Parts: sequence; structure tokens; C-alpha cells
Amino acid sequence: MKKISYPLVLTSILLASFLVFMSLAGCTKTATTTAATTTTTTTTTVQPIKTYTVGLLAELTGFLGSYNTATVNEAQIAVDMVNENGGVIVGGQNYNLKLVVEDGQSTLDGTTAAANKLIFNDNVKIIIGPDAYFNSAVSGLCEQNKILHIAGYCTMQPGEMDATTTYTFLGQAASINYFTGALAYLKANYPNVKTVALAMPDDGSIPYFGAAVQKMVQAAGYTVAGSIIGYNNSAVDFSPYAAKIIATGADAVICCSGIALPNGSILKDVRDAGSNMLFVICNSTIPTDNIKVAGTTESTNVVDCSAAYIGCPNPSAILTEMIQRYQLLVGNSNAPLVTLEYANPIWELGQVLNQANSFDPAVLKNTFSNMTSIQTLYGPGTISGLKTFGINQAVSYQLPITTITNGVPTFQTWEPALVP
Amino acid sequence: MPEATILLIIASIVNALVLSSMYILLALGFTFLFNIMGILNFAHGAIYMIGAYICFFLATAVGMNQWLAMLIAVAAVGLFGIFMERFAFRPFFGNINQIIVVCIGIITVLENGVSVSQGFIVQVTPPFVQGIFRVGIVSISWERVVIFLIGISLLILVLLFINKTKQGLQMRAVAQDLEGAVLQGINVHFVSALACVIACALAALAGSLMGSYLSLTPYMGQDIMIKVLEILVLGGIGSINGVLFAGLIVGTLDAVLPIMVSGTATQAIMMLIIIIILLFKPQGLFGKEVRG
Repeated sequence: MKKISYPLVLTSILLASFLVFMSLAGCTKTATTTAATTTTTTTTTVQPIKTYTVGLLAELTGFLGSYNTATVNEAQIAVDMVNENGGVIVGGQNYNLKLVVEDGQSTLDGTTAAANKLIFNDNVKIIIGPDAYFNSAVSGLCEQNKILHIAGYCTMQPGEMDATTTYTFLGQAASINYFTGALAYLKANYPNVKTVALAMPDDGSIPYFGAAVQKMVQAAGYTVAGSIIGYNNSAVDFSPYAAKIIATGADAVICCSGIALPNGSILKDVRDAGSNMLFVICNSTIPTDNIKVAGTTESTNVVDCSAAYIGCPNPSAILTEMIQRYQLLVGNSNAPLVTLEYANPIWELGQVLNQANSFDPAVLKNTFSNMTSIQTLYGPGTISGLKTFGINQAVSYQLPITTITNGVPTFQTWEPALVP
Repeated sequence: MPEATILLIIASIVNALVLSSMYILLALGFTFLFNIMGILNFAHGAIYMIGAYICFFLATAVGMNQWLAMLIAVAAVGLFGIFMERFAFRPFFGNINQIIVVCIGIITVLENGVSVSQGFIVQVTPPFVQGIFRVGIVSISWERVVIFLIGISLLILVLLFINKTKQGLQMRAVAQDLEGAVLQGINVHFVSALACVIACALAALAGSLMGSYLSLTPYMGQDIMIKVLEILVLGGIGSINGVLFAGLIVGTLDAVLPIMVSGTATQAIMMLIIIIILLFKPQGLFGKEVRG
């Protein structure tokens, strides 16, 4: 038998260590800043008299894993902010909120299991989340068990939110909000656009969300070029979709939802194929992320209705604080990510609890649905959605509109993105 | 024929060639390992991902030229192949169950390590080349042209290496008859390590290029790995010619199907086409009887 070659073993171990070091290179920064945040919290938080546990259903693993890890960090910041302002007062008693987080694994089955765990193991009466199109695994369960459910997103698929899901609220701008904002800006500022192509992820929402946006586009006086172009979120290459968009011959394409990877990739591929058509992006991804994926030279003639980002003028004071705390957490004074899918619902929950003066989900539900306005992290919010969802339980607020030319984003306006 | 249709056809051909070249590069590395060591390295996609991240890290955090960053990433991941061969594969040689568990372990460590350390930040390696190549009404980014040329060049080099060099012939000998190769004095461990190095280096190179062309995610290896498995099964596991031919088929289907059908249906239709082909050729297009 051949003897072990120790130099070879040593070299291999060193190389392995190098690879581990490379892949964990970002860890130091995060660990340090997390510790810093903990210290800040310890020194400024008033000790709670009592604690109230709220369930947070996030997709911590799977395709949404990285994204939701960040949004859970934001949620914790929102909880800290609520608690530092005295927590919530119910029955004359101050309560600090505490999150218990379960992982939906970016699948409907996993999300159902996580929701069951929150309800039956953790015994929570309030669930925040989930993200994306996973509400259909949660809303019915919350209705059956009378659990207050404040969703972080909605793609308008059956079972997510409708007249039968009375315990479900949408606490954060969703695809329909971003689309509403972008369409209003397009109509007001681009009179030469007559035909539009529509693109969106083929995640099951095209017959519902797609049908809704198609109607809205036609109602706004545009002609929809071809049918809706549904793309595969997991596609290795998005250039076939870009080719399909260009072939419609439309004046503009609207990417109605989705995240930076597909939208930025399609933008890049449309430009690389020689087309300079107006490119409209409406989603919760900030413009700089789309630019990163698409590239500087390709990011031109773009209108983006997005989440708030650094550079949006006159953000609300709470949003400014949220951004600063997030930057402190990630240890980057320029960190742009503020999507707030879970933070906004938590911030709103604090107000609902105070106003309801109860933890009973039925009371909370009635209080929330009877409110006409609420303070969101983006500023004043309106509660609407009867025409869109069949139930008046969606929170809308202003969203930033940005144009991008040669990779440079320029803020244009805060667009009211009220969901009818 | 309308100009839009001509553009669509040309775009599809270009996309098919670029995608096929990347798929073939990856699948070739995977096939290498299977042929030499009889190992189905399911961690190949994770290796592709780590190659992309190393290139990105060197090009952005260190500020290195991206071509140099890519070369270092390829070298580092290639050498990591030695580690894999020695500690992940050799001890479990011949035991498929243990190899699968080891691969799952490698995937978990690499993907979660990157996921935890990088979080959700959109990351793209700076472009290797910029600009658009125009011929008449057709526009193609130089990046795609370069990716295709690199893919094809490497493919030719790898095939020349296998067929024309002493080490390549040794690899073929080991693949054909392990005991015979040992009796002929071929250092099987060296050949296996070399196969691992080449496989990992090819994966890292493909990852580095695609990290610039698309963007980086900790799970980017999973989707591409499905493509690799489709190519292997379709081409016939272990067949180099099969990889070339099936890579071209899968790349073409990936480029053309999204134009004809909506989003996620493309994957289902592609699998259906593969199943139909396998019904007529169960061993794959160029497959042989599986060795016992």
C-alpha cells in the first residue's frame, strides 16, 4: 500500500483552509457589527415588564434564503425600535415584542409546516410574513385557527388574500403597489409610449396578477404587445426572454414584479441585443441592485418603481432611522438594502396592538380593518384593497420612482401607489 | 421574413451556442471524474459556485484584474480538487452511498458558508469585456462572444489532452480497465487527482465567467447542476461524445423553448423531450452498458 504523502496532505489542508477563509471572508464584518448592535440595544432598551411573542414566518433557506435572512434582520430592528419606544401597551401593561422565527424553506410545504409549528408548537396568535407567493400556505391556516396574519408580500394567487381570508392583512407594498406606481409615472411622463410588453416570473401568478396588470395597462390606454412573457426565475440564462421581448416590437417593456437577478439580466440582454426600448421595472429591489446585475452601460432608459434606498429625498424620520440601524447592523455606511417585507408589518402591528388594547386576534383583526390610515416606515399609509383583493386589508404608501441613465439612478418623485 | 423574426432566430442561435459551451465545460468535468474514478460528483455545482465567488472576491474586494482573478480562482479550485480526491473520494472509492453523503456534505458546507457570510447582496463580477459586436442588424455583446470562444477553446484543449498526451492516455486507460492500468505501472492516484483538478478547474472557470455574465448566488450551482445531469443522462453517462452532443441539445432547447412556451413550462417540456429520447435509447445517445 502506498504511504500517505504528508506534503500533499499538508498542501491540501492549507488549500482547504484558504477556500474556507475566502468563502467566510464577509463573516468578520457581520459578527462585529451584530455584537455592536447588541451592545446598543442593551444600553438603551428599557427592561420589559412583560414579553409578548410574535411569530415570524420567513424563507431562511432555499432560493429566498439569502434575501429573507436580510429581511429578518430588518424585522429585528423594527422590533427593537418598537420596544425602545416603550413597547406596546395592552390593558395598561407595557409589553416588549419578541420574535420567534420559523423557516418556510422557500417551498409551499415547508411554509405550511412552519406555520403549523408557529401555531401549535410556539402557540403564537400573530404571524408576520411570509414573503413572495407563500401566503397561500398560511392564510387559510390562520383563518381556521383565528390567528392574525400580516403578510409581507402578495402575488394575488388564490388563497393568498381575498374576501374569505379575514384574518389576513397585507402590511407591505407588493407587486401590485409597485406596478401601480410605475404605471402612473409612465402615463404622466412618457406620452410617446403606446404599446407595452409585459414580463413577469412564471411562478403561478400570471393568471391572477398578470390578468390584473393587463387590465390596468389597457385601462390606462396602452396596447399590450403579445401575451405576457413569463420567465423562469431559475433560468440559467435570460437572453431568450429578452429576444422574445424585443420581438414584440413594443415601445416599452414593464417587468411587473420579480427580483434583481431576472430583471437586471433581462435588461442587460435586451441592451446587448441592440434594443434601447424603455425598460420599466417595478419591484421591491432597489435600483442599484438592478444596475449591478445589468451593468452600467446597459442600465439606461430605465424607469424603476422600487423600495426606498439611500438617495431618496425626504424619507420619513422612521425610515431614516431604519436605514441607519440597518447600516450599523451590516457594518456598511452605504448599505442600500431596505426592503422591509417583515419590518413594516411589525411596525404596523405595534400601532394595531396599542389601538386594540388587546392580544385577541379577533379584536386585532377588527381594529386593523376599521383603521383607514396607519403609520408605515415609509410615512403615512392608507388601508385599501377592496377592488383588488375583495377585502379592505392592504396597506399602501408612497413609493420612490427613479430613472436610470448610463448606470446613474436619479430620483424623480414619491408616487402614491394606492391599491384600489 | 420580418426583421424581428430574423433577429429572434439569430439571437436564439447565439444563445444556444453560448449556453451549450458553458454546459459542456461543466458536464465534461463531471464526466471526467465518473470515467476515471467512477464517481458521480454531485458537489460539482457547488465547486462551480465557489469558483465564481473566489473570482468575484479577488476582483472586487482585492481589486485584482478580473482575468487574473479568474486564473487564481481556477488554480485555487483546481488545487482544491487534490484535497477532494485525497480526502473526500479516495477513502470511499467504490462505495456510491458514502460518496453521495460526502458530496451532500460538501454542498452543504460550501453553500451555507457562502450564504451566511455573504447574505443577500446582489453581487456580480465586473465584466471581462465590454461593448457590443454589431454585424448588420445583429448585435451581440462581446462578453457572450468571449465566453463562447473560451468555452470552445477549452473544449478543444481538453479533448487534445485526453487523446494526445501521455496523461490523457493514462486517464483513458484507467477509465477502461483499472486493474490493467495498475499492472501497466500507471499511478492511478495521480491520474485520479489530475482528473479531479481538471474537473474542478473547469467548473471554476465556468463559474467565474457566468458570475460576470449573470450574477452570484450561493445556490447558483444547483440549477446548473440539473443541466449537467440532464446532459449526462441524455448523452450517456461517461461518454465524452455524448456530453458534446447532449450539451448542444440541452443548450439549444434552453435557448429556444422559452421563446415558444412560458417560463417554468420550459423545464417540464425539456424533461419530456429527454424522457422520450431515453425511451428509444435507454443508455443515452452515446452511452455504453454500465460497468459492473
